[in-house]
Amino acid sequence: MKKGEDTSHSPQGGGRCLFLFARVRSGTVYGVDGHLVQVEVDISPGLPLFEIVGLPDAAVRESRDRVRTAIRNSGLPFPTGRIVVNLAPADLPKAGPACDLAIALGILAASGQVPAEKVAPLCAVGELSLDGHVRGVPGVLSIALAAEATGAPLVVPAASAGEARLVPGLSIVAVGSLREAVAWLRGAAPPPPLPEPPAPPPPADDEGEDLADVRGQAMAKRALEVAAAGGHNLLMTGPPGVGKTMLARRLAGLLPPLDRREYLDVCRVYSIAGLLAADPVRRGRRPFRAPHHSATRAGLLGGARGTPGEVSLADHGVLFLDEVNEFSRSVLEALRQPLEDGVVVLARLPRPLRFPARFTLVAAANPCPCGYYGDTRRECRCSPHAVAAYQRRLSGPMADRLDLHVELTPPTWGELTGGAPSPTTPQVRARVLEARARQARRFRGEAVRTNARMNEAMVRRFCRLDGAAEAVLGAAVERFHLSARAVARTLKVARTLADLAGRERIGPEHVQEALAFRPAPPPASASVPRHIHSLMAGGDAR
Amino acid sequence: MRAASGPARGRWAEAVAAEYLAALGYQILTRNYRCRRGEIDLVARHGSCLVFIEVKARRRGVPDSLEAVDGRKRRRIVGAALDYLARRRLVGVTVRFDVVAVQLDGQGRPVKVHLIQDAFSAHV
Repeated sequence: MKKGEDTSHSPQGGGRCLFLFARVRSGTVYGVDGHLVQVEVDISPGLPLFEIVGLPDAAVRESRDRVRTAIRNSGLPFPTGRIVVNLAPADLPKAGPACDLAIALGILAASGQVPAEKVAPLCAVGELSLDGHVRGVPGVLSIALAAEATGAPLVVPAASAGEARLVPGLSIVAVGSLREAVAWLRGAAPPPPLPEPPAPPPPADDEGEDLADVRGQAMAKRALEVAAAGGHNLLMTGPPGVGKTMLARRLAGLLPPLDRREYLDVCRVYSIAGLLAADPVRRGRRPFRAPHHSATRAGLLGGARGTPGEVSLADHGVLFLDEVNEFSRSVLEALRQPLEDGVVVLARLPRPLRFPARFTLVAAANPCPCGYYGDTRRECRCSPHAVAAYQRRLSGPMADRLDLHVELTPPTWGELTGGAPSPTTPQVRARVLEARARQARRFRGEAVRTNARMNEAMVRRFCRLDGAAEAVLGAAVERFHLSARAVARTLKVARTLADLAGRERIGPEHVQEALAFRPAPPPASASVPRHIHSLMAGGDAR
Repeated sequence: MRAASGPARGRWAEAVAAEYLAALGYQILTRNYRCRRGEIDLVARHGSCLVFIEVKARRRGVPDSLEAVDGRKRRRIVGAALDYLARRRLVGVTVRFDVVAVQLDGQGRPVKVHLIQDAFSAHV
């Protein structure tokens, strides 16, 4: 070794290379969006080091050990020298072990063990086991969607190939091990065969849950129909055991099946939550999420670490909050943003995390702490103060967004043993689909798809009332002191009722029925349990 | 640097290690390199690599020897390596750290030699 001489040699011990450098692409997920990551590998002479830079999280930093061991255990030499891996862009946090495979391929390319020009255009995703197997990672669908725009061929773990194939037009290579990938890149073997494509999601079936399973409750069933048709949020109150949970579960069956775009949206979120592999078939159905009332804010909205919350798992589906009064106040408050905007934004981070949260809310509440306030057969043991306080918890942004209120009473003996035949789920769904088709025509080119999401301008445009209907509404505003918000809610529901009847014009009967769903009983039915309004006016608790 | 079993044994182990490495094609450049920052048992050239070798002699066998090259020891070896490179103004050299574990019998005679190439990196 002469002094001052640059003795950069190939670490393989043969031949001279001036510099050893390779590039390959990979991906990371932020929120629900996939981002492509440019992996650069540089091997230079010097003290042996292996560093990964580019805001790697702990799992990515641990890649070093996994990659080195996987390469060795695949029968390939791990190059000596100073290895620096850069994950660009440097200001995007990289999370999770998804870059393992790309880093390994980059190192092999830089050290001349696989042709660098074949590796450079690829986008490789996958975690490496110590024995060289390539493991599936969450979020492959999001990354595949990001890769779609660039046209890069995608190299994915065999376990995630089904997910990647949901994106049309992508060139995909599925590998089970590093050895397999290397053999393919060296031209020694054809690309490994793709596993069977996933069966297309079956048409949404009812899984044995039909509306007719519930006895009586005609009003509540009608409310479900309206909720399904127009995307309206629904509150059911009533004593325990009256059927609120049963009814809520049947809402998903009334909704139209997921369309192609919605299906991808749901798959993306479930992939990131790590749930897609376990439950792929059901994705044809609308999601139904029912968190327990002890759920935390993070569990409901999502964590800063990137895990989607219940509201996102319910995207394009139903979020059912049973015993909604039991949820903590701060958790209910936190639902304001998703209810308002259909999205959860965690803005405290350097890059705001956005999760979708376009769900239909169904809430079930007991009327009071013991549950029997207003029950005609059992006595309520709560003080008027307790009842008022209990009902007051359901206030603020949530109450504003609940378009439909229904009070359930226990069915009569006649209803339990026979009574009028109940509408069935297929029957109601047919009407719902018709109403949805009307809305699709109405909102073509607009940002919303359902009546419930109309803004003020749209309400003015699409919910014009004829003379008779206007009169009914006017009288109600006078009598019940309806606020502007309440009027808007009533108009939206009336619009949906007209759609369900196949009518373009909103008539007085639609306004009348819409008013029946608002949070105060119509004056004619004195036997119906009182709501908070009459209570606050000083009425008797019983 | 030396095994805990006494200076004589240590020197013996080093000699055995050097012979073993030479037979493998290592070109021994320096023995017992010492400086303020640390010390290195053997410096050799192997192929295109400059190799710094730590020799460990133990009675109990190979696994024990490897564990004896702990973080503190590695820091001293890496420090000495940096010193060696700086003094000789060596730039752009590929460097490697190897460990030679020499297993001794009851009388302290070497019975087995085990070489681990690229035993650790410069992350210390």
